[in-house]
Amino acid sequence: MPVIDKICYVSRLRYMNTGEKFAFSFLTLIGCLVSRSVVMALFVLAVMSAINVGKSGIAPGRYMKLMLIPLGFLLAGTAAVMVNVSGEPLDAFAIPVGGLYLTGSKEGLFRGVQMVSTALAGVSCLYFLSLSTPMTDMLTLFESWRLPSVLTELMLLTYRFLFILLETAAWMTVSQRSRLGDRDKKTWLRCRGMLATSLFLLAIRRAGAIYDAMESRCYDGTIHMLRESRPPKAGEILKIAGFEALLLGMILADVTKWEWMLWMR
Amino acid sequence: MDEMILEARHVSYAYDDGHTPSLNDLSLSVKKGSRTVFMGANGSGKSTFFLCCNGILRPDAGQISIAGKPIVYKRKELLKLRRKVGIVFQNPDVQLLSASVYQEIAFGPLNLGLTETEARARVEDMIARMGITPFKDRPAHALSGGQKKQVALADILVMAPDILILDEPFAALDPGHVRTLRALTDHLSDTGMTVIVATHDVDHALEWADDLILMKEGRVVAQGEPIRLLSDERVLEKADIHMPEVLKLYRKLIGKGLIDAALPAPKSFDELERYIERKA
Repeated sequence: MPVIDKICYVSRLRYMNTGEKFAFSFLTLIGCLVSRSVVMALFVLAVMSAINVGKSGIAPGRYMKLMLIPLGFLLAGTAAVMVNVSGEPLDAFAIPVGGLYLTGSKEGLFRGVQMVSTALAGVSCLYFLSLSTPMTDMLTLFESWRLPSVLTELMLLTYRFLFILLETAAWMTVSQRSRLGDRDKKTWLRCRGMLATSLFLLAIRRAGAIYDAMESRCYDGTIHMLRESRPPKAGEILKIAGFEALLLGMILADVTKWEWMLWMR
Repeated sequence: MDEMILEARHVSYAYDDGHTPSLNDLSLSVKKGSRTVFMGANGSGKSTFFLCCNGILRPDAGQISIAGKPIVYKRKELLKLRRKVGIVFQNPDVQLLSASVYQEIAFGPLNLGLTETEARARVEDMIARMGITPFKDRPAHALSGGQKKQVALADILVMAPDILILDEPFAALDPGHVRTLRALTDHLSDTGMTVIVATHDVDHALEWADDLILMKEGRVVAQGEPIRLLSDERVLEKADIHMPEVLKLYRKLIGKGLIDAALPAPKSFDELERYIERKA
């Protein structure tokens, strides 16, 4: 089963107020994206990773693996920015291939590094939230923001039924394999097809049964939610505010430096 | 005369205008405060009947009355009805709709229009009383079958129904959970709640129920005192169920003259043991 879902239930930050966690994660993320500075991104990445491993309690090895997942996509994306194929060599590097060059500019290299560091820092911010906060807590937060209930209800049901479907699919696969459903590629493919069909039919039947069960409990068209009260703590808010102020300071310093350089010209 | 809390008269129902009706001219009545057991093969119409009792399904013919009043199929009336009739579904995965146990149990009370404070108090009380506290912070998909069942039951009990319908509550439960659940149904019945249980366990039906309804192919084969129905070989054959072990043993012991034949048939092995001890 998706490991990522289980981590948040054992996180040491699970019972921290959801609003606080959300604010910390998103303000920091926005800071990173706004500043676009490599130094800032590396700073955020370091702090967030330290919190994720040290405070939230994710095993370092597992955290590394999780961070490597987006890295693959990132490298593929940045390669396109950093490397050009051109008849003229650019200023950073140039490898002659036949009559052309595999070449890159200094600016391109810098943009690549900037992209990777900002993206990784952003991912670490999002991991902070998603690896410490169960989906249901997020839903109650959205509910308290008065998000349209059709959205929150859809999320609530989707999240729950995703697991039911996955579990059913896992059992069906086991049962197919017990009957040599993976004997060769052809059988395997046919089994996958059958699995998809029966899952689909099952989902429709289930939906009917679930609706009956909801009606049995006086469902009247809206799923009301009860917030589990975990009030925010003043100390935590202060720490978050302090950190965000620091980031803001860094951004401002960066911006003014840039203006100062313009003025020098 | 006993007060009837649930009455069905000539009820028929067929899914999607099918040729084989699920309920076929079914008539029965359930006494207020009784422990009523429904037995019958899979597909004999028990679950369909239960869904008719809280107005989820509307019979094609016939009438169902709750506490003397025929069901009125209007939105408001149905909501009132479902407050009184609580059904615990056989498969908890059908019933549990939130991944959070707390939200799950709160679903019903909030639908009853309770204030947040009241609902919260009820939910927390139910979590404590049902022994859910140890796993209340786990997501629904990480619960064991027995734990899911506990939550599903809490879902309904928190709404404080007058009639509690348990659709095969013991299916796929380990002995520990079965014991807990039996103790709970005993307790609920003692508080005056009408408890209806569908089960395949003849031994439990004999020991626990004060009224037994045997169903087959959408009809009632027989209704009456469990000990009377379950000793009657003709009835058993018609309903396609076997005699409880304790009654079989009781008959053999009488045949061998090991117990007093004048004693009434025992409801449990404990009772039978006392008969043997008395003779010896």
